[in-house]
Amino acid sequence: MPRRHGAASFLRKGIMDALELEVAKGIVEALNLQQVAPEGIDPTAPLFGEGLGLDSIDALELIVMLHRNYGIKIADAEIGKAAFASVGALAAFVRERRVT
Amino acid sequence: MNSPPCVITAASAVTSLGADVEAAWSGMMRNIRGIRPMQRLPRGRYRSDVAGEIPAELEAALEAPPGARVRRLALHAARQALRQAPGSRDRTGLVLATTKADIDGLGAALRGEIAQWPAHYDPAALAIDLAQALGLEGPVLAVSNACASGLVAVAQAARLLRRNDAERMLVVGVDVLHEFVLGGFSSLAALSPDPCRPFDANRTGLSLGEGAGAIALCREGSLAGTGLGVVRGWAVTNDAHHLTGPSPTGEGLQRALRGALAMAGMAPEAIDYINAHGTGTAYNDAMEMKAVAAVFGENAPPMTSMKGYFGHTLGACGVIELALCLKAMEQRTIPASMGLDSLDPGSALRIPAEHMPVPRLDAIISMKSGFGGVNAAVALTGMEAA
Amino acid sequence: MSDDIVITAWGFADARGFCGTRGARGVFGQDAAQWPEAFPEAFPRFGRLDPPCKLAMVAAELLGLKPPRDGVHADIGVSLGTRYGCLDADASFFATLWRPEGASPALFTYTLPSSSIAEVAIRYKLGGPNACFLAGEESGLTALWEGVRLVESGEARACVCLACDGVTPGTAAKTPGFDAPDAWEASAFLVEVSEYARARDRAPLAAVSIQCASDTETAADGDALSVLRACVQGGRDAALACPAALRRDEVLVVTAQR
Repeated sequence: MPRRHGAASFLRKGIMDALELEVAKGIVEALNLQQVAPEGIDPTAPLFGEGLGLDSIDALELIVMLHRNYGIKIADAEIGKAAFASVGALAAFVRERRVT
Repeated sequence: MNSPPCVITAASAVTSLGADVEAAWSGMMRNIRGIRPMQRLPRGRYRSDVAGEIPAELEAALEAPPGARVRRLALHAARQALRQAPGSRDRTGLVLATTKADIDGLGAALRGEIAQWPAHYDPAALAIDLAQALGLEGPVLAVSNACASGLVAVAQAARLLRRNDAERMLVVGVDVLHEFVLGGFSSLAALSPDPCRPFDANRTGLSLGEGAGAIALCREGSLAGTGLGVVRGWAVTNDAHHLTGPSPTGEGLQRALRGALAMAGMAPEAIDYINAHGTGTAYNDAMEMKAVAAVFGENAPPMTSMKGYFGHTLGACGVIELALCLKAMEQRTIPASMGLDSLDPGSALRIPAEHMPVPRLDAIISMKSGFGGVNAAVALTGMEAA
Repeated sequence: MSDDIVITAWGFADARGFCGTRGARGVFGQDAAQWPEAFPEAFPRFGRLDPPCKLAMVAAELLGLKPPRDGVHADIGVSLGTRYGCLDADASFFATLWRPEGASPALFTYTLPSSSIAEVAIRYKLGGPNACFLAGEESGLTALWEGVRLVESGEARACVCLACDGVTPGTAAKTPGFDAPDAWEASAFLVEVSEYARARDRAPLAAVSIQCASDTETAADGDALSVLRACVQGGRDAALACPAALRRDEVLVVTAQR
């Protein structure tokens, strides 16, 4: 479990399935998040703004991650935003659009 | 807080529009855009295939010996400026502004194309080398503050003059294009596929450019001869908001504008023209419009971006565009904000899409912002203004 | 005199750990995973910073600055000196340029020597004048010098004078042909007008002023910033010679408060 966190809103509230956990790990790795355990992230919590507090650069980096890990190409960064609402939303997006 | 004014005695610029300020201005007045399909940079690989590259024939004719492109462009601009304003070189110093210095050398080294590490990848080494090549014996500094580097360098030069560390300072701003930079801005989704449209309601991002500019500054009263203009005030601030996104309210830029005006002892109403940063990205331009509206109010003077003509020249833009501001003052013409078709609805600002001859163009404020939240503003006037 | 310029805090970080006005910890090496321990609250975004920024943040944290409740500290500037700049980030980013999935935007944002200014400014809301100087081995001294000059001029009431370089054996591996030294350290000093410091309950560790060098002054030998650290910790005085590139026969006189 993550320790010493200020904003606890992203601590686990729901149970992750295997893909959600894999996506959470991909996020932590791609963004070099420290002191954040992938299994501890609430799959329904917002990723941007509040929650993990990711920003626009992170969104772009996640687009790169989706291409690398799943072969998904997102041309328009706006499509990415809806898919990035939470770990759960991102996993659903991956399930639908993955190539690899 | 006041500061003795600094006289600008020379100004030069080399851009995709030509080898000097005259060529750039002439191109601007004929509505020529130097942002063209890439020749040196690879097309079809990134989010834009157009840029303001220095054309090969212009490159070959530069007033500089063979060597790294960044050095050649800087020397060319610097020599032009020093010719315009001869003076003793032992009391002349140099401030260099650049974001990536010899990026060509870096790229070649990282690809294993050259065995020796490029010395001029280090801005400090490039600055010292330029000073030596130009015979300047005064203080030498290299500054790098993202896209505000040029104006930060002008402020730094003025600071050195204010404390009498030199009698004259040459400010040189230079950056060259490389796939490194193209790929980087592409990865940030900041590039416009078409030539940029600063302040346009449908703008889609920035166009990259390259070039060099040089300004010679001296303490008021220290040299006889005509000056091109007077730097009356400056300010450099930080938004302290986000690494690449400007503060939505333009708070830091507002403080920079107010600070420059305050140092100059000028009210916003005294300004005849605002030379914007105006990169053509959604966020930057929106931020600038907000900041200008907040500082200058309903009767804000006309504001334009020059980047539609030759692109965003990065560390060089502050100096290149300042040189062109001086030309605008001389010609009493506000250059059109090239690339503008229609403004954001609801914007009350005057951003002319046509060249604007004016009866009076004696006071200009130039502003530049950069990654990392830096904002810089410089207030200048013509020679006659008290 | 109320115009006196004083140093009220200092911070330092290198492979041995960090130390400064607000504490000390040892044995960190260059393993970035340990460095977030320098911060009182969790700092998950620490991992995004490039090596020089990480070091700069740790050194700056030791100054004990706090962001204001609202807005920014408009009167506190940042003066940064870096010799090797963003070399590590440049090499790291360049390696991603031709990946099938595309280049890394996060790495690109650090390919500017001035990144450390941004990170420190954002964390403590420092909105004042800022500049990044590159001056070879005198980069840190130049940043200090210009920071003192900035406060002296009134353009800022205080200035965080930072020096940082983050070059590791890992950098050497990415930069063939570059004799990458092991440069892994950051230094920070809080320079301010004494009246400003007094109003914020920050006691001076030393007074500083730039004066003409004279025969009776003894310019300090060795690394100027480590001499300055010795002054602010140990109560000794010193005179630091002006950076050579500024061509001035001047010294920064440091008078420790006892």
